[in-house]
Amino acid sequence: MDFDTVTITDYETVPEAIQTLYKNTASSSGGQKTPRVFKNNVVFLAASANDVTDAKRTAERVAAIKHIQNNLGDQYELNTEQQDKLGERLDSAKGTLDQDIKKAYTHLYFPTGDGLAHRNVTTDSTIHQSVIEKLDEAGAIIPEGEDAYGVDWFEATIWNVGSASMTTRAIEEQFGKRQDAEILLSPIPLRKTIAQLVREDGYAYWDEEQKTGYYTPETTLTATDHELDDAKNLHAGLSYQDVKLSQSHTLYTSLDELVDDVGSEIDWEEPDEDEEQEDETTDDDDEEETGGSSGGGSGGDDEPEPFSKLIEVRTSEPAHVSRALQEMRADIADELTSAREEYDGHPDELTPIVEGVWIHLDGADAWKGAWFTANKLSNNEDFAEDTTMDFDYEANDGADSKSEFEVDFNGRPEVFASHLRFNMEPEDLANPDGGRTAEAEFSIEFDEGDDRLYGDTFDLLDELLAVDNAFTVTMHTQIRVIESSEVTQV
Amino acid sequence: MSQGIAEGNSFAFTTGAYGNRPTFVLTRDRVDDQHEITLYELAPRDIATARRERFERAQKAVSVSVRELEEAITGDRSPSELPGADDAAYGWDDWCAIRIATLRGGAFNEVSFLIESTFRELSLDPETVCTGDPASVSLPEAAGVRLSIAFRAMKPMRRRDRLREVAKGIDQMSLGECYYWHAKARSPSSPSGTKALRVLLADHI
Repeated sequence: MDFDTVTITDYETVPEAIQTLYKNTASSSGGQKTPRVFKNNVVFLAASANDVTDAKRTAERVAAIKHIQNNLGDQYELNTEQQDKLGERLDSAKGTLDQDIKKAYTHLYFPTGDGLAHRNVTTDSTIHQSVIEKLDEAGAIIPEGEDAYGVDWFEATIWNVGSASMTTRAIEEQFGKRQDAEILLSPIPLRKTIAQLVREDGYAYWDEEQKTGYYTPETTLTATDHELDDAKNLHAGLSYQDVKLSQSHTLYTSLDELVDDVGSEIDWEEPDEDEEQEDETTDDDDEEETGGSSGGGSGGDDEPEPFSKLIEVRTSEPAHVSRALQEMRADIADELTSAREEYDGHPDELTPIVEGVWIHLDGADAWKGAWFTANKLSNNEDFAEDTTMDFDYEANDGADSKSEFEVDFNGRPEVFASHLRFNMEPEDLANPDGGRTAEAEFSIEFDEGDDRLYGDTFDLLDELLAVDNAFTVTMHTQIRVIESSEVTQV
Repeated sequence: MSQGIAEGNSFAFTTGAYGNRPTFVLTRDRVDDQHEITLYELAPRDIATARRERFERAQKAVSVSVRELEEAITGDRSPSELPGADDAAYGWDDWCAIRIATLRGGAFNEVSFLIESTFRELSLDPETVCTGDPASVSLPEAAGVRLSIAFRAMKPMRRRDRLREVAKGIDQMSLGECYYWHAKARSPSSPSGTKALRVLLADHI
């Protein structure tokens, strides 16, 4: 927390600003507040009021010395020895400031079952490290290297009491919602826990993408007439590399519940075929099963299909371009990790390429934002050829006679940028009684055979659009992960 | 150490008196078939002279040794043309190099560990100065400050275990701590700074 917003004098009283931020969330200062759902994902670090005074004084000293150094000869006449001493003073002040800041930021508030709890943090390494250590000590986090957690803990803390199934995404979100749960720093311990539940505790797991189920070895099936051994796409045991946290992967309390829910997807071997033929099919199937169990899933061909996976992410709410890109990058990074785990070969052999990026602007002031974006994209050779845009604008004067102005543009951004200047918007038309709305959608879609590397393309977009601009966008992208040998670049 | 970069962006550590210009050079050389590595601080000539005079006046055993840039750098290049320099063009007329220390043998081996982790943070290849032919690398202030306290502290030490303790201790220091010790170690007004650091990290007296 900024020390201008909150400082702590009596740590037992949680400051109002922290309480408000803990209970609510908003996309910007003064923006609309909504209740915070994922309360368990926030911790607060605040400075102690007394120590801030020291830190401020040292900061002033650092700033003063820098000011003198920058204006030497101009405003300040110092001989070379004095200049050399000044450098020494600055080094020492920098060191002291670092210590003062660490000394000031000692109040840690974190969510527990009974609201925010307090701990004092003392720092001898970095602040970040000390906060993690303190939370670990308080049992408030699940650190990255942790092993699987037991079934009792899981049922008491995370599982929705009474449910027969939960998607793995919902399970993950429980950590954010349940304030009595630990904060999940890495998904791996959770994935290990889910795998263990399926291996040892009678739970079952369904992967909707691969249409494959997993169950605890030696389980018996009571819900159907089929024999469990006849199910071609159900396997005993589960390793954590196969566990994905997503909407399409579901954990069931038992195999019966799984079969009850997705029964029609299960591929039962038909026993009433001709005997000879049956034997053959079984053999073939066995081979296929061992050959490509976790790979592509499209059996039949002689040549294995090269690996290919589509990742699609979108921003959750309007944000400045840089924030929007940042949010998407974080989601893409998660998806890439799971793609690499799905892949049979070495993870370095995979390359993510961009199929398309869509940028959407909306709101009364979207004209300027749309013009800026069109101008930037059309002036960049990497994007100009592959971008099209839609723009709709409407303004009226609100008078009885009702005068309306409409623009409906459809086409290339360079045409828009050169013929509809950014100051051509009839802003005043809408004043004082009227209204205006604008909406723009940019589609950047790259041709097949012109593969754009994900990292480079996002860096370019960031560089191009994320200047200090005043408008917000929502974004959406499709990334395809393919084997590096399949990449074609023009 | 992974926090170092983020830390470096904080207000306290942004741009020094000379902007973003590299202010340290690390040079590896071979003399009489023995490898040695020397750290230099770069400074305008008048500042370097002033520092030498301050030390002379304090009549300490320590003396400041000032070199020409071409003596300090391997190959006929300016600090801006070395690996580790950014793209900006800086003038180097009237700049010179203040020798911090030269390490050989055991001390060189033990400091390599610290050089490696410091270089990794800067995305520089430590091989450039740790193996192979003689070479020089430019370093920004923050990295130079970290290495310079190590070079000063390790210079007179012989015992490998203690040398290792010092390199490890400095590797784990925050940037703020490094600046603090750097201020203590480079000033004639605090003659025991480096000694204190050795005592702290390796019980070396």
